[in-house]
Amino acid sequence: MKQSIRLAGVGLALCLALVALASGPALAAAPGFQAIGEFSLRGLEGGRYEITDGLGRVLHLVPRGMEPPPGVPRHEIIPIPVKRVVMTGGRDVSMLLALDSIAVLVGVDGKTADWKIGQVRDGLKDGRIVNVGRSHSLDYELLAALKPDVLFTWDEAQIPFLADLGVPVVINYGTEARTLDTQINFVRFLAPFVGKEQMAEAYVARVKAALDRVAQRAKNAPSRPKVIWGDVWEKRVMVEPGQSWAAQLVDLAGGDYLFKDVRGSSCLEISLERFYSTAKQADVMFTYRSPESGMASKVELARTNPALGDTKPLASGRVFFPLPEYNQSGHRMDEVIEEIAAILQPQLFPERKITLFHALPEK
Amino acid sequence: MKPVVSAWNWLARPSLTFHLLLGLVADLLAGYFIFRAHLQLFGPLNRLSLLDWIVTYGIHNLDTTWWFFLFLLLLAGLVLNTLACTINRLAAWVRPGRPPADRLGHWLALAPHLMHIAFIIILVSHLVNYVVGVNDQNNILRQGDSLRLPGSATQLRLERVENDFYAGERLKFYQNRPLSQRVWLTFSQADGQRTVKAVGINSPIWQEGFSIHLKSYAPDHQGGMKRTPFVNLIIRKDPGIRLFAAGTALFVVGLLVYLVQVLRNGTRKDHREMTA
Repeated sequence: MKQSIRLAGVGLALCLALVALASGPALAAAPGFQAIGEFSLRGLEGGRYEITDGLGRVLHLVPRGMEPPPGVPRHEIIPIPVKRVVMTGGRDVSMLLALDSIAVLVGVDGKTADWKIGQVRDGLKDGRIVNVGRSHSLDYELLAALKPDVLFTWDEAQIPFLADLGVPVVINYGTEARTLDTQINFVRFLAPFVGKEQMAEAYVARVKAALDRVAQRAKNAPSRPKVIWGDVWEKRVMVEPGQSWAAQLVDLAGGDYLFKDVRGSSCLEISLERFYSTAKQADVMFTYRSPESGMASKVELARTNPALGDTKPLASGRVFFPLPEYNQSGHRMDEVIEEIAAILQPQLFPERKITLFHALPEK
Repeated sequence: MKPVVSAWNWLARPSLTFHLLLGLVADLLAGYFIFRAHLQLFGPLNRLSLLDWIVTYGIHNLDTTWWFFLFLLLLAGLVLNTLACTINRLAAWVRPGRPPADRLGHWLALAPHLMHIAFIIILVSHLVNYVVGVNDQNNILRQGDSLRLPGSATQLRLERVENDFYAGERLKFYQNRPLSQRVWLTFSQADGQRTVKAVGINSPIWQEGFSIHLKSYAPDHQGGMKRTPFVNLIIRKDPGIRLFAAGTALFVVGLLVYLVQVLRNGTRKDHREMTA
């Protein structure tokens, strides 16, 4: 037995040595590699980066003036720091505020009224920022005229169109919902685009400090309310999966998330039966259905899908919906954490004003 | 020479097999929990070659990936142990001498060795796929777009997307959703020959040794958000697949031979008991 263990030790050392030998040049060229959920960032010499987007595509960030890597098509090379960015999705646009780089934004999806970020609204009004259409049907002529350095979008269908225009596309959604760790660290993925790595570190430190503060206080919670986060529609129901950052925040903030065992993409469709059996136990429900999407009360929500009308949150519990600001609050992640904690454990966080969520009225 | 012989004999010991298997069980038990907690670190193994994964996700997250490296090491040890043991046994099997009294029994004794060799071939085939295979992800095409198969003159063109939508009333969540789909692709070879094939979700197609898989596509529902039509294809070439098939076939042969051996030994034992 001892001999086997000795041999195993020698073998492990040999194996690691072989790995180091085989990957020597690659390792030497990769001083830093960070996996950020489904995204990754690999620092190379000369300030270059090799990134993997949410779809698993490799793109190259090359400092302006530096020779691009040979053989790589133009639409896979992004000059950094970027000067002109088109981005869809409010949460990632708001992350540019965390990096003090909203000035690079030249195009967004949606109308002025859809935007709660002052700089974006003002930019749309005075023409510095252009509405390039809806995220799933962009106006390619407008996009071409904007000549962006990069487009951030969730929609992979845009890639061939933008490749024709020579514009690189970064898919900012993965196949699974972002975890809390991914959501916080996503700023580190964005930072090299705008050359604000130190600001990204400051943001991460600030949010992690808020997480620690909330988790510490939530430990003293006398009880943990049972929570679900999902949307009820006429024919189907969707939930935030257990590994999503929203679900993980609920657990951390003194709640007990009931769809922990569900894994997958954000707003994942599940069976009505599963939703019903779980929702019956829940004390609190978060839903994206709000008066803005035509859902003004719990009664109306119950009417949408009468089978769910007698579930606890709709019958006697509490239902909250995020205000439009919430979807554009990536830079205020610490506040989101505290607000969810204050909703779930009001006695532990009495000082926290709720500004990003609203309770759905009974009628 | 003596140390080499003793190392070889140590490598071929059945007790080493036991320790390696025990180590594998313990390692995989730990790996099961670590894997579940860090799916996103191991997920890229599906799209990267083994070496690419090692130098990025693997080596930079050793606190999480150590069990995978140990697994590879233990597996390599098991392969060497199986190889040494099998070579020793085969050497004994072919040793010249008096012809065996039971010639069929002599041949049937090969069964475990066949299965051991098959096990090694199957593992090597996986290694070949992970190290030198083609795994070309995210080939996104619009209708009418073409691309060239990696390292080949053959062009692939997206013709059209067809869906078979659920037409019933009972399963409400299936309404407006496809039950199946056909993405029609034309392959144009250098000699002008054209082939049309349909790929679907969980229904890959084969062309010149490449397997083509449908990752995602649009439109994949009726009504709602009107997305730009596209398909996202994965193009793979697994050079170890023939080796894998050969290993599997050899394993089946070994099993059948073993079955004959067991049945025959049972019959002979029954016969001995009856005549005793």
